[in-house]
Amino acid sequence: MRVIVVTSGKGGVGKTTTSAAFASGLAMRGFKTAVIDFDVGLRNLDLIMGCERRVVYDIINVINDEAKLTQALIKDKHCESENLYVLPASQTRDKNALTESGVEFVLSELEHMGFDYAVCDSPAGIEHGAVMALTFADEAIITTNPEVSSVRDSDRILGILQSKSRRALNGSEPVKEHLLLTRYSPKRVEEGEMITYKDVQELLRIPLLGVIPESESVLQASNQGIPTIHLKGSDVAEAYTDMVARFLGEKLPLRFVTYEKPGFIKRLLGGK
Amino acid sequence: MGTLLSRLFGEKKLFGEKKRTSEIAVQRLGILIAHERNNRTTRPDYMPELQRELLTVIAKYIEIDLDKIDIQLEKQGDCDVLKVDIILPEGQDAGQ
Ligand SMILES: Nc1ncnc2c1ncn2[C@@H]1O[C@H](COP(=O)(O)OP(=O)(O)OP(=O)(O)O)[C@@H](O)[C@H]1O
Ligand SMILES: [Mg+2]
Repeated sequence: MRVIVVTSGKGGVGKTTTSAAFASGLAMRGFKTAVIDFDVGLRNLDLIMGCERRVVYDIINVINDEAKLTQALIKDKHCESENLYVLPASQTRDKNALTESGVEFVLSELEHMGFDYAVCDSPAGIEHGAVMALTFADEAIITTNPEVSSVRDSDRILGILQSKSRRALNGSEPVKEHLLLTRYSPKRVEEGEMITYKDVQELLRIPLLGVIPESESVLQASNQGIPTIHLKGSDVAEAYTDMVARFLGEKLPLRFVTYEKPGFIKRLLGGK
Repeated sequence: MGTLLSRLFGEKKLFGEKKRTSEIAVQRLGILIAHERNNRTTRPDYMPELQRELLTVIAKYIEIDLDKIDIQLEKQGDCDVLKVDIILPEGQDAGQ
């Protein structure tokens, strides 16, 4: 089993949106996948995955032996493949209930159950919760907005991955790092208001896994509790689908990164 | 005059063209990230102490601001170089 952390340092950049889409994408490609909410006290992944009413137990219950992992895992209903499970975070407990040995136990149980991937949705910040989410990671998706504080925080979280992850501490092969730009607006880039994805990549110097455009459909998806990747025909769904394919080793060109000026007629009609 | 103009046009230049601020962002980030990475990878534990002590010695002779000193360990080819940057206040000529 591979453990993948979706992390960023900065809050609100799209980690949960990405975790939901990415885990769903892996499941749609046939992999048995668990997506785990590490945001103890502020769980939200259940809402984005649309399974909030089916939450009975959470990761802390499993760690404290108050429930079996199989009781806490919620089967996702959006993927026809029926191989995606959500492990919610606790809404009430104190953050320190998420212990390193507890997380290790949960991950090893998932491995025994035959999961191919565990996707860890990290909380914001560089404190305990974020460190727990990345400790056992084999790969990391550094979710970044094209904006100064997000880029800086991404670099700081890279530093933490390189010093506090299990792989860093025991000197094995380092965590594989991927850059994912989200909320990218080609129009604002064109106008010189927003940093280009190329610049972000040159600044952080890690391989680019994808660019997800800023899009109104993300709100449409979260309103309904449907991971964005299921919104057929939307740019965001296609960008996430491409990102999953690249993660699995396919070489695909970037899409949705260039701005096409609306033509005269479109402007006349007031199109976007 | 300048402030009046900028108040009138905000961030926009004349003829409504917006300032291309993204280049400034990239430049600032380039400096910041290089600096922070350098501190992360090469900064030994004694560096803050060394910086404080250097500062007290220099302050005995020259009036300097606490934040006008910057020390870095850098790799230059095969050797490590300890780089100390001290910005002297204006009017404090060298050799004075
Ligand atoms: N590509 C996008 N286009 C438009 N809005 C987006 C996009 N991605 C995320 N958002 C919006 O940004 C907000 C934050 O997203 P999300 O909750 O996924 O971030 P997060 O990094 O998990 O936040 P936190 O740090 O609080 O956990 C949400 O309102 C979401 O709808
Ligand atoms: Mg989140």
